[in-house]
Amino acid sequence: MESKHLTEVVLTVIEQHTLLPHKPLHLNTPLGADGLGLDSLAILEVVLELEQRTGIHLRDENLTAETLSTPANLIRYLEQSLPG
Amino acid sequence: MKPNPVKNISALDVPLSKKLELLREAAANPANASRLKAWGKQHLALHGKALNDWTSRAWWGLAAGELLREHLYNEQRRPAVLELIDPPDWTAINEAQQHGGIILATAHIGPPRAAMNYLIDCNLPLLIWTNMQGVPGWLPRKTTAKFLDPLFAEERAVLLIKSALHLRAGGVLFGAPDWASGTRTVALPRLGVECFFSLGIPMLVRQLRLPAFLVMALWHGERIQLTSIPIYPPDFAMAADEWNRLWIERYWGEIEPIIRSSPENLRFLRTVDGGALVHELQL
Repeated sequence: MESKHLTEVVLTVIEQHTLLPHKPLHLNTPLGADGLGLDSLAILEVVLELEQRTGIHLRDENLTAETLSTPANLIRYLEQSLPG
Repeated sequence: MKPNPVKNISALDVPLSKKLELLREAAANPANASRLKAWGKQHLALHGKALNDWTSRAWWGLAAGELLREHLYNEQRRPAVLELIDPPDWTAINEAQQHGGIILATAHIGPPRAAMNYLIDCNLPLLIWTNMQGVPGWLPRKTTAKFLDPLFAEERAVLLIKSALHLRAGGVLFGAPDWASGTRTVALPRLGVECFFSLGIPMLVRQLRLPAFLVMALWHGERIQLTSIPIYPPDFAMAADEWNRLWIERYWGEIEPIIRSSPENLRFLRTVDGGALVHELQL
């Protein structure tokens, strides 16, 4: 999947799950309480939906709280999960 | 406050089964039991002899649980606890595991950490959600089981996603939904109080469409039996909030009769009364 398309998919899925739809969504907007208000359950839904939409099989080696902190970090994590 | 007899019994150089018998004797006139008695009176409407009997049995359960906890912390003493556990019939669990990941939902009831320790020795591809403060440092080095601590709020999303990946790879997840953590919980009114439940486990069941079982270690006399009860999923066409609530009701529906009828297995954690009765008996 092209990087631009991956970014679009990630932002679309996050937007669908945000509890604060009026908040501006950028690549560096925090996903959690200090930004879009996604809790851990919502982030789980986002990640599983992204996996389904992109066909990328996620790996847990690179997964940290930082990975899940912003759309940009999430995109990096998805890219790292691509088969090398 | 009377002295804590559990400490004295724990220090005796006798087998664990004998210590449990000695606790029965101490339980006939239980030390520091006033709050326990008040709980039985308030929540179960017990009085007179029924209340006294209930208090003795509940006190024994708490004291025996603390005794076991102390043994489980000690590498040399741990096998004595596992010998108290009758081998379970886990045909249904084993069959379900042939088809992929399964979720074993437990509860804070019965002897603490007995089910977890039994499972650790089963050589399953096990991921355990637990407060790591209750896990001795040597235990993770002795097992292939993995541990994640749900108490760290900032790591909770990581815990859920790692669990999902583990389950999808055919793993087994063991965790307790009756310890409310996270921002979204389900509250059920039970025994005159609101009980709060975490949604992480039902969410994983729903998202991954995996079989789930309620697994508990429970006292039966001075032996421990492991129960496994399938938790049948609600209709997946339901809205998520409704589905989660119904799943929790099915889970808790199996546990509530034990709370009402089996005082030895009560732990009185915050799910039930918000109190800390057990602290009075801690070793």
